Amino acid sequence: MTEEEFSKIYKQYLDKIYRFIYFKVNYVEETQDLTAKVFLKFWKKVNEPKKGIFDSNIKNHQAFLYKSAHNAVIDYYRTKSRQDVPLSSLPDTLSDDQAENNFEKKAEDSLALEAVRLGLHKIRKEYAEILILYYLNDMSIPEIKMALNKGEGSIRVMLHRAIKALRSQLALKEEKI
Amino acid sequence: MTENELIEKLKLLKSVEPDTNWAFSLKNEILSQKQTEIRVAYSRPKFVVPRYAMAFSILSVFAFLSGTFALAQKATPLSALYPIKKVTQQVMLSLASQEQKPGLQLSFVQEKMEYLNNSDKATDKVRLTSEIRSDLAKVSDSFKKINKPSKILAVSKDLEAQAEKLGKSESSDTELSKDILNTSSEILAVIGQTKTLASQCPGYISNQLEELKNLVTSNTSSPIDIESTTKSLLEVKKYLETNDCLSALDSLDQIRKNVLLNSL
Repeated sequence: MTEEEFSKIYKQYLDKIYRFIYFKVNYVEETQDLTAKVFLKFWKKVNEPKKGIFDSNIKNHQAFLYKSAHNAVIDYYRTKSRQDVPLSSLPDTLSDDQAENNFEKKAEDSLALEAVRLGLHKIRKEYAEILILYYLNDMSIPEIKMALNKGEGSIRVMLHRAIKALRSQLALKEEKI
Repeated sequence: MTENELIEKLKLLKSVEPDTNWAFSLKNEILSQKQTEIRVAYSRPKFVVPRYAMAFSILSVFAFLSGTFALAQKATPLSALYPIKKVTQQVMLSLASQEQKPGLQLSFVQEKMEYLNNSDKATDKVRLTSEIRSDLAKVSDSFKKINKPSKILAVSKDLEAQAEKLGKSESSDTELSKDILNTSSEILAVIGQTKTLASQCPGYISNQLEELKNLVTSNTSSPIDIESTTKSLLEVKKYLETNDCLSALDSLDQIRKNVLLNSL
């Protein structure tokens, strides 16, 4: 693969892979490290000697990148300490002082998005994954099928359950407030 | 929240993007891998150097480096010695405790903001803006990693002052202004929440105990480490008896997180 071809693929998929990983690990530095590993693996794979003239080392670039990202996140969780839980798991109620200053509106908006982000972190990983791929990365059902190696029917069912699970998670959070 | 509202909110998370500078550096680093492998294939010529000459060279290099490092501490982001100053700053950060890191990073950001506002060259402004945005993301990360309310309170006074000062910083770049506001809002919001927790500590502990009880009774499928949980609960009791509410809160929070993790 030439550098130009790689650059085109890099530009096309970087944001999506980055987002895919970020909403699973929640930290920018770790996301950068894992994203780097994914693309480095891709680059090494496409530069391996080909077995035959008509063979391609990677048949589906998108599927390869998402599978690598998925595996990289799994490896990350295996090695990461279980004591490290994000600070943002604290309840998101604002103090009276906060209500009186002009950060209130901005903080509430940020908290609403933060609640969705946290909700993604708290529902089942397969559900979070499918929501990220479908709504954030604008992948179609057939594309998700290639990336996750699941049937189209299962993906549609999971999508429906994932939204339901996220809504329940957010409703639970609102009740606590 | 309706399903459509939730989907709209989800789509807003598309605003999460990688830093442009980082993306550019990564691409170059990956593409250089091929070149590096090719260069290694060539053999290197060998040199024979007398020992006294080697010692003199090493001492000279050491003296030069020490002087360079000392000079670099005064370097501005626009000078050639600035990369060395960045290395020193990285070392300071790696030696700092987790709760000290956000404050240290914010001071580096403030320094760069001053240079940005005084800079005239467009290329320098673009570079500095990108660096500051990347640093602000790291401040946010470091802050999120402080996982004990008592540690947040320990640094809250200085951090609050720095975050407020940051929030008042002005920039002509819209994205940078947004990042500045988001970072300072986030820090101030969490400090505010933590102060509320501290003031409502006894009440909050009662709620936490109730929630923990519900979690444990509803979580029958995953095993809980009874010995370790009992030990931690005895610790909570000891802290409450000595009126150390925040330490009790820290311990209880940790038990809750462990039970939640076990139930995932």
